[in-house]
Amino acid sequence: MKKPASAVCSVLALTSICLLPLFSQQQTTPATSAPEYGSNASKGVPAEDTPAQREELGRLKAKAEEINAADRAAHNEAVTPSYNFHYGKANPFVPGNITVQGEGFIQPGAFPSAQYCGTCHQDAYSQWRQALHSNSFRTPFYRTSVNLLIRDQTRGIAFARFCDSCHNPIAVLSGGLTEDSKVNRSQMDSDGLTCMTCHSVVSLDSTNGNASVEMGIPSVIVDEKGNRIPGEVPFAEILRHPERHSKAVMHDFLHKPEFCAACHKANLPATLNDYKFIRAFTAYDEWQQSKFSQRNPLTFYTGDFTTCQGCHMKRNPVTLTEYGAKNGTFASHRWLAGNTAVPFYYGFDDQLKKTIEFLRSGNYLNVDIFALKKQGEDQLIAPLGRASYTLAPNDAMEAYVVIQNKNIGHSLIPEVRDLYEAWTKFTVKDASGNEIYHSGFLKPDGMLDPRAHSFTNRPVTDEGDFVDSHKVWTIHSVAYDNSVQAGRSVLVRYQFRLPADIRGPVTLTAKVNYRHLRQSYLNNIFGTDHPAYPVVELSSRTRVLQIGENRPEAPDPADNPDWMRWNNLGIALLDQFQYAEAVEAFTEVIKLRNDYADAYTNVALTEIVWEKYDSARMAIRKALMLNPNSARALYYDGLLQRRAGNTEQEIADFKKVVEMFPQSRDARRELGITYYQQQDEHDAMEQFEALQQIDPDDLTAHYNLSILYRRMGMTKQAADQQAMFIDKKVDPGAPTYSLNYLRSHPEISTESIPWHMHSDILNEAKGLDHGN
Amino acid sequence: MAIERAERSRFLLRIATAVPGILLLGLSADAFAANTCPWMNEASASGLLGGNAKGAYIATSQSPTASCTFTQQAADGTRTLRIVVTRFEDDPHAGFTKRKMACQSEPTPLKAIGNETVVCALNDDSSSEGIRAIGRVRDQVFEIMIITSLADDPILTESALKSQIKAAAEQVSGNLF
Repeated sequence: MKKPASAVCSVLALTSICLLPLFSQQQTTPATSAPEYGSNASKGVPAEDTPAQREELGRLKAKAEEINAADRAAHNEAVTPSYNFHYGKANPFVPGNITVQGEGFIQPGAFPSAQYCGTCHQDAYSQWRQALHSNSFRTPFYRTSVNLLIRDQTRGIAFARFCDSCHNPIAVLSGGLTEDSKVNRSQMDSDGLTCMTCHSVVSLDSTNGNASVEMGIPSVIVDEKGNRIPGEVPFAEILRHPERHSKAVMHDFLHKPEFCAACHKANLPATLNDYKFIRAFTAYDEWQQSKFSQRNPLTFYTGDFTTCQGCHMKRNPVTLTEYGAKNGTFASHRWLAGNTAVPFYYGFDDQLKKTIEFLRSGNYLNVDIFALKKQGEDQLIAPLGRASYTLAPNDAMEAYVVIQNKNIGHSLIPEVRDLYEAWTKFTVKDASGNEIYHSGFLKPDGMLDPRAHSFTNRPVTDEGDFVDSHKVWTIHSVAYDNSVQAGRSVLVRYQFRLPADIRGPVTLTAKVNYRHLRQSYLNNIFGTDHPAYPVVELSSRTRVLQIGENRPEAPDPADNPDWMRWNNLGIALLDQFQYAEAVEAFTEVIKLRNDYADAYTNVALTEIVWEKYDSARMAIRKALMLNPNSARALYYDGLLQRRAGNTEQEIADFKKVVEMFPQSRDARRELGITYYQQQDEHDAMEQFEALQQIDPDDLTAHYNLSILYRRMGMTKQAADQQAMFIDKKVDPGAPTYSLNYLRSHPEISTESIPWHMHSDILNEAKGLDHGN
Repeated sequence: MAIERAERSRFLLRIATAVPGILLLGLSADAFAANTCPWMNEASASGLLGGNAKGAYIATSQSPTASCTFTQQAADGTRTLRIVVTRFEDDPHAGFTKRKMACQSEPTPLKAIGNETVVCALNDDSSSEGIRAIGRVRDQVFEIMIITSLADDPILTESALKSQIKAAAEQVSGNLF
């Protein structure tokens, strides 16, 4: 039986929820003008409060706390009775990892609105309104997918907390995700990740992703002792004490990739799929393994330290009133990245234009039509532009196109790569522009040439069906994943025949195109009657070949230097398991740059995976002679010393790498294994625990720690590690699901093989068996 | 296998619990129930209407049309939010166009709501003020009306009606995707 006073409170709370202000969804600037900025504040000088002002703030804080507590209690009373605690009372937000300070759900009204923030941060507001974060929930692209989960016969809306913990955290934390919801969804659905969702996070739980954050009671200011004051406060308080505003909303971690990891890393947990842990995506780990993190000694190239924010939140000159600006610039709240679909759908032309500019900027990709090979000849004509050769009509050719993920801090394509489409469009044209060969075209219905080389993946169900509609909870395996990791290269082979009557020059063009989203997914959302979504050319290269003699020519300014072109070919061949050819390519690098230690290391690492340890040793010695402090060479030397049984040197090598790169997961892992093999359990545990701090999902760490903890008598910890190992280890039966899919999709089956050829000659000759 | 078994048994359990409910509902041609509107909950409707609203959902297995009606009783009048959704399997765009003809003023396109959506005035009853949105999500055509019987309604003013119909259309279309 509800007490009368509580009943009144709950009605009041519900009314207050219902009466949240609404504003136009397409309006991208806040309606109100900014308040006057005081002279002290504008100089960055903290104001000295009078006793009366301190007293007033104290009263404000006490009142705000009282209102917040009463509202929250009333909200919980209204929401809790009908809430579906599918995962138990203690886990109201599972399968998401998000939590909130305090007891129970938090009332949506606790979050100051974006319009409130936008009063003083007009530039940020207008950018945010067009950005992905403010449209994280409401777009048809997301709703279609999450609605399938909500309507799923054996799951339902409680399971959608998994997705909405990142896409609509206020809905999750307020208890809105339940069958009989008592929460007014209009504002939160429209605003998605609003200002005060990111700026109210008080701690990061881990780098596990799936929204691993703790949300604080939203607060835009602290008092003179640093205590947070909940809710909206008069602007005058903020303007008198911008430093206290900063302290409330600007935690250091907001500048760090670990913050982005909270949602830009995801796994499909057993609580969602009733199956097991499956990695969904992890842009964070990809960054961590890239040259931009400077945490990984094993990258092929080095680069300046750059965070996620460094690329996606670049400072720009402000165009509207923006009190957060420093020297006239402010960190972009557009989070420019790859999504062209959302601005296209909403008509956010600025965002679309800037997104396309962003995708084409930064020298992110390098496309290199690297080599030709005539059918029946072994010799590679390479690198194109530097080599002399002749071409004749009727020649059957192979073209080697090397695509380097040069400056992206994560893979091409990152994250939900089953939804996006990047592919190579390769054309061969005669002097009149007639096509001799074309791979990677769009069909009249908008579907991509199924034989195109695409940088996507194909998740499949336990029936071996492609998960076309992003029903991630049905994913059991991935039939192939052709994404290109940061800093790596891929070799795409094309085969074509020059016409017998060809006379003039032949033009070869290779492009990497990108479409957000895949056509069949767009069809799932809208039916087939939707406009064509933008296709963005990310990078391209054209070469003109003469029939007859071809001489060296000046390189294009965007071309990589020759040594790097060979190096990229070597990297691509290594990833295609073509070890002999990879060594040949890296040897060409040595010929061009015999002072380049990494070229020898590249030879050595190829030979290690090729199990040619003696020649690998020679190469690594040479690398260490050139650069005795090369952590990369020391790492591979450590592996070779282990092979030779030189344990002391093995430990010395790995220790040195760890000293230089304390966040190197590979070095920690190998050093841990070495200590384990030496029965040095304490040091082994230390390394594996450090490894788990870097990568909480590392299988080797789980496996070894489960054994080590058990030996130490730490049975609970051992059992936990064992359980995590079992959950995260790939299901040995999963490849069967992939094979079922590949068997019925021969065109995709070919794509799943690292070495494959895209060819029309198959049709022409009917005898060649390596066509695609 | 164990997982499959567990899923199967859970599914059977759901069927077992659902069957009596279906049988009970089968006693009546129409299924009336509050709070089960699939496109908007009462709290959201209350927010749009400016006070506590009560809702009723009507759907029949015989008809491709279903509706929700939310009513907010104020001291001197009533505010109503009505949602009607019809499935047009053959030519959904034609269905949308046909519905659009109900507009008594020039329909204004509403960007980024469903596949296509328009807003127009609702002047079919001189004793009330209102606004109407007609839109489409794939093969589902929806019609939303917000109506107030209050003279010079202080909450559902002309500009409020415009913003509320947009918010309502976003809620409804979002749930129809």
